[in-house]
Amino acid sequence: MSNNQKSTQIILQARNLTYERNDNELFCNLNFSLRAGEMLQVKGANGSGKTSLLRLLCQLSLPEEGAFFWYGEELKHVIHQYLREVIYIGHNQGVKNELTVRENLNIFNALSEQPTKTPISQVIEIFGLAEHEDSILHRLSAGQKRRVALARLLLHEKKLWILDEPQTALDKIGLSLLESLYQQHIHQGGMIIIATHQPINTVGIHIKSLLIGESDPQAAVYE
Amino acid sequence: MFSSFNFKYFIISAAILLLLALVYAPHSQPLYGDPLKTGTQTKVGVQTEYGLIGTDKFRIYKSQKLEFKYKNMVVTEKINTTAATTGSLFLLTNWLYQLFFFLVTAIAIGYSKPISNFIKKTGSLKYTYNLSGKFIPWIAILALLLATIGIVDGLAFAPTDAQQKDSFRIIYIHVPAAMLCIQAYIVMSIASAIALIWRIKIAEIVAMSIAPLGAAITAIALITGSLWGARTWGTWWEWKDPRMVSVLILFFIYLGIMGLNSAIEDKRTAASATGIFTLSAFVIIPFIYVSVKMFNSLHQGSTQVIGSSDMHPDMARPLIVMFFATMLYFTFALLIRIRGEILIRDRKTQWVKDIALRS
Amino acid sequence: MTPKTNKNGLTAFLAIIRRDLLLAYRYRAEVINPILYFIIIVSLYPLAISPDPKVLTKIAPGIIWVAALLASLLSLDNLFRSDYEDGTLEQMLMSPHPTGILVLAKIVAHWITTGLPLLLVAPVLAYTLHLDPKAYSVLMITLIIGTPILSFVGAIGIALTVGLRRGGMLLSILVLPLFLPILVLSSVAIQLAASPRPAIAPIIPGAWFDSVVYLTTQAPYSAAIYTLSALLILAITLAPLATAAALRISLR
Repeated sequence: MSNNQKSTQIILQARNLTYERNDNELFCNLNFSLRAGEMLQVKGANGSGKTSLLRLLCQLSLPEEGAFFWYGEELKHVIHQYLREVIYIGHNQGVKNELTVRENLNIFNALSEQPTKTPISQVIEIFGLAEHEDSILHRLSAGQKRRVALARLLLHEKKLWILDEPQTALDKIGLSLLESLYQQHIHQGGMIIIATHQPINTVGIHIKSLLIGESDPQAAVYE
Repeated sequence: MFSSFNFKYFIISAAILLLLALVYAPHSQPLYGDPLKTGTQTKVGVQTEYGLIGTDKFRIYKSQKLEFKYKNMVVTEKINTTAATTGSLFLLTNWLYQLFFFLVTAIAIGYSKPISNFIKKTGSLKYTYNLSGKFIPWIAILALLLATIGIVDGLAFAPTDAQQKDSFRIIYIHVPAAMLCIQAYIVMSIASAIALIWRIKIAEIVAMSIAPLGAAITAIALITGSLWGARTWGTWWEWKDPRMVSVLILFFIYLGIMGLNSAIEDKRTAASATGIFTLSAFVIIPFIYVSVKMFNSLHQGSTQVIGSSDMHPDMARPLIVMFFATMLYFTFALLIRIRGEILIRDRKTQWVKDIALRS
Repeated sequence: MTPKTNKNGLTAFLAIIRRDLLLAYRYRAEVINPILYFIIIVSLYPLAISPDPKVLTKIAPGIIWVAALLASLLSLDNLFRSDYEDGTLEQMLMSPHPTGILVLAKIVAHWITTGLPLLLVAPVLAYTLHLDPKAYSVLMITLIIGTPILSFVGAIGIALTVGLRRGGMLLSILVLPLFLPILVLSSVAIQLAASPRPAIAPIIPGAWFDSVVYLTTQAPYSAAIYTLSALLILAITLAPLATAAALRISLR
């Protein structure tokens, strides 16, 4: 655990989050906080609210009660800066199946406000998509589509990564690539929030875990 | 008191509302005025000793003199401006009333933060349920009383109209229904706006409950209007009449709102989506007023709707009573719906369970 | 804390337009569908009512506009549906650029691929319906001004119903009442251009509506065209905001 690299300032904090969907209360009075260089794994059974929590973090849904705090300020006041530093890769991956790999990455580049951290060709190389650069995503396998979606992580410098089951459809090489990405990001002081119930194999990173659901919506184990 | 007043909001909203007042002010019409005297100018024509000369047959000069052809002569008449002056005095007070109303709205917007805090405190569903429970019997009794007075007065005691004989009496249902369907839409828009901005549950419930009632009262207005038209114009439906068609569009919008509300399962999301649609479709309300002017000029020769604002006071009195009666009845029906919806939404809380156990 | 930005909203706007046009080009067989639908509906009327040129001349403006309305309604579905299904819509909402700008880009691209082809086909169809030659220019003007309004107002409707399972019918119910004023104004304008009526003096001078009518009765249809233009500007400024809000709600 690289303690000396960890800053003591709490960057992201959630207070008293309550969320209900279709009159079902998914979680109630949830609290957690995240500092630079930390990783949070959200665990829970299917339908327990992992995806809902992640969507709350992206401000795609609104909580019934409670709020998020970014660098100490309430999220809705600093939403612009927050969205600049967040990247969300959700269940549906956010890539257009009718475009080629390169076109997809070009669009993500144009949509973001920042210049690219890594040139697009290099990103394509790293993810092993070089020979499929100009193929339409329809024709690629699920694993390759997932790699295109994850390629966004390297395109721009983002502080917080919010990932929903990112390892689905990835083969062994893809998984190890993903884990090395986590490692690199955490060591550079970034934060990651992942929703998955599979174990994450990383070296030297302390992973906090948040358990949602079970019998009592308020039960959230936090270590 | 002044520290919590948001001056910036006040200035911006006052500017917008003042602009609106300038747009709508000339549109206000007096409810009734002096009976027709020779030379009196109305929207339909000028009353001369040769009869009522229609507006498309004369020219107006700046000196309020008008000239028209009768048989083979050219007649020049001076317009009696007394009735016009009484009318314009009425218009002026109407405009001042509008300005006052808009000023109060702007001040309310300036005080929006304290008001929203107040609504959040007292907008609890239980508070609304109990408070409305106290008022409902009184509203019902008053509505019944006024309705009886209005209907009896209108059917039995109002004088018979010269041209329409007794068939005009349907205006005692038609006009209040027509005014109410537009007012209901405006109230629904305001409630939706509050629900969207501050996400207050009671506002969502109010907006959701008005939709079916508004649709019903629009249907009543359309049906009574077409019944009246069948007698006076000869047709059950006049597509050329812009007001009739615009109110039909309003009816479809109400139905669309009800459809959208029932299509989304989560009630809060449904209320937000319906709110956006209600506010987007709000443009139909000014369109109802504008279309009368716009299409009467485009479609020359179309029949005029009851444009004449000169109504005998004995005829107008039951109309005012009926208007209040229908408004009170609408409020009564609305409160019952709102109370029902509150019970459904809060069904898991203790106070609702107590009510269920008690009954 | 905030990184340096080198791209502004305009870059994102153009990128989205480019992307949507690229997608339309890649599936250019589907672009022809609204045009075909338009042609088929227009050809239904002479078959159903009467092929007599005298009758068709009178109802030609209405036929063309009803067909344009229905073709527009049909093509609205692909405005947001594919983006909703593959998650791209969520990414657009999460971008730091104002959602209204991105939505505006999508609507503009949508109009270019669905409304603009209608403009090219309409004069040909008007010729087959024996439209009065005087009215052709007004027909094109009302189409150029009116079809974007249909795209903008329809975008609000489709944004509200994109997440619903059976939203197609509901979309028609929501959006057609909003389309009706545009339909009426356009048809009336074209009919008046075909058979003009004499201008009328204002009834009570003073109310400013009457002055507008008086000024514009030099050409009787121009009042309707001014109103249409006002509606277009209203739609361009307000519809993206309403659509963005509706998208956020649909994606909850």
